[in-house]
Amino acid sequence: MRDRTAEKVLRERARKLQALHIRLLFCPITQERWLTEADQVLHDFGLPTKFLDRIPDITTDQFKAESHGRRTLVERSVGKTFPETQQQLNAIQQALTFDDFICSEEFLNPKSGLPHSSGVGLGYENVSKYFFWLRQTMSLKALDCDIELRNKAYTEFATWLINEYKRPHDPFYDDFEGGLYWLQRPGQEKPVILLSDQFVVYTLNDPKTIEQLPQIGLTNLDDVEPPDWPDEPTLL
Amino acid sequence: MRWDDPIQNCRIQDAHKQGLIDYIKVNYPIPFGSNPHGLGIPVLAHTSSNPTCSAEGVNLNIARRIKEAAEEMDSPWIGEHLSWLGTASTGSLGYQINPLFTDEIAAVTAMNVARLKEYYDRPIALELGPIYIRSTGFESEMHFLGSVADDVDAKVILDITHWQIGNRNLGRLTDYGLAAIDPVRIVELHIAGMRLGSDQRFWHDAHDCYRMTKSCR
Repeated sequence: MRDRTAEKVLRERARKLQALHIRLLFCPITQERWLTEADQVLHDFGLPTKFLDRIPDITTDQFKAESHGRRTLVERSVGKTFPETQQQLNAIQQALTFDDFICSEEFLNPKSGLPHSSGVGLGYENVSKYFFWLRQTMSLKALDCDIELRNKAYTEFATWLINEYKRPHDPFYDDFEGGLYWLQRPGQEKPVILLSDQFVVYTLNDPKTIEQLPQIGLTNLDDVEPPDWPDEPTLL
Repeated sequence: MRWDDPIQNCRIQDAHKQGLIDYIKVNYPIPFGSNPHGLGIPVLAHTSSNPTCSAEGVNLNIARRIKEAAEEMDSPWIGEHLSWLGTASTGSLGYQINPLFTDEIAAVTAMNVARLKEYYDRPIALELGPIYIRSTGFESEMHFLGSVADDVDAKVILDITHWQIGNRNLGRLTDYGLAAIDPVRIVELHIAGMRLGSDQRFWHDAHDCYRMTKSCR
């Protein structure tokens, strides 16, 4: 098709179908809404009611099997990296669930995470997306955050980052040479927790030692953010 | 034999020395620091990283790396999956996501594949993932594959495992769907493991169950 206007219309329609179907595969909240108000969900995704028949029956065992498999893959990779964080989350009343993450915009957005260590680019893993989403949603940089949750999440994520650094990696991961550190309690200058790239945890209380950490090239995990990389070109 | 990771090198070299394999199918882009080309074995270029069915198009940075590798190894074609990887123009939410097998997605796929083929300046061979959900447009995913391949004059990789997984999961006859593919287009037969899920009902791809770390001398 060389007619660019027609192609744009077609791609826009396909984009909406793609967005809805992928949401339905991953997100139980969207699935529940679909069962009770499919017309409204179609409308929310910018699709007319006549497109209802393009979407598979989500009550079939086949759909449930595929949906379950997709969620499980993400859940496993996140659960394997953050076991203690998730235990702590479960202990907090009204805390976030895995569904909150998998239904979030951050899960879908490649720019919510780090570049994959293999060098393939942004958004090819879900572990870093989960950490940044959790840090933001549970306000783990705030003075009144849950300290135990903060330290478990930071320790587990720092361990993951160092493991990625230790294998052949995208140059982005060079920042984690030596290890990562963070304030145990936001707003309090000490103690500082340091996880070395030999996986040794130090609790630092000497202000002079703490002052040297950035000078010797170590990274403060509170400063680690998804890189603001420009949009990559596509073959359109 | 498909190459995904340097951990396979030793065993692949062993197999090649013994005359058990003639070529490797390298899954590009390859991880930093790896060099399957250094094994001295002919390569068929392949990728799981291009969402050929996506309305967002295909990431040019990924396509460039695949093109360069295919040129270096003079691959006779480049293997591509008919899939989505997410809702954005880059990244992947996990394993290949089957698209909706509808007319509009087929049209978008044909445009994407045609542009990739032109960009690669090399034939493309298309393959399907394992299927669980019944098609909502075409008669089946095999008819979708056959139609797109005909539209853009693409070759076909018949992933026998995925085809049989689809037939079992959807309660179809063993040979269902084969007639939808022009046999002249089939240039590769892909065979991998499949496993029955813990529910004892649905079948799954089992690439990940086969670890190539043992018996390497």
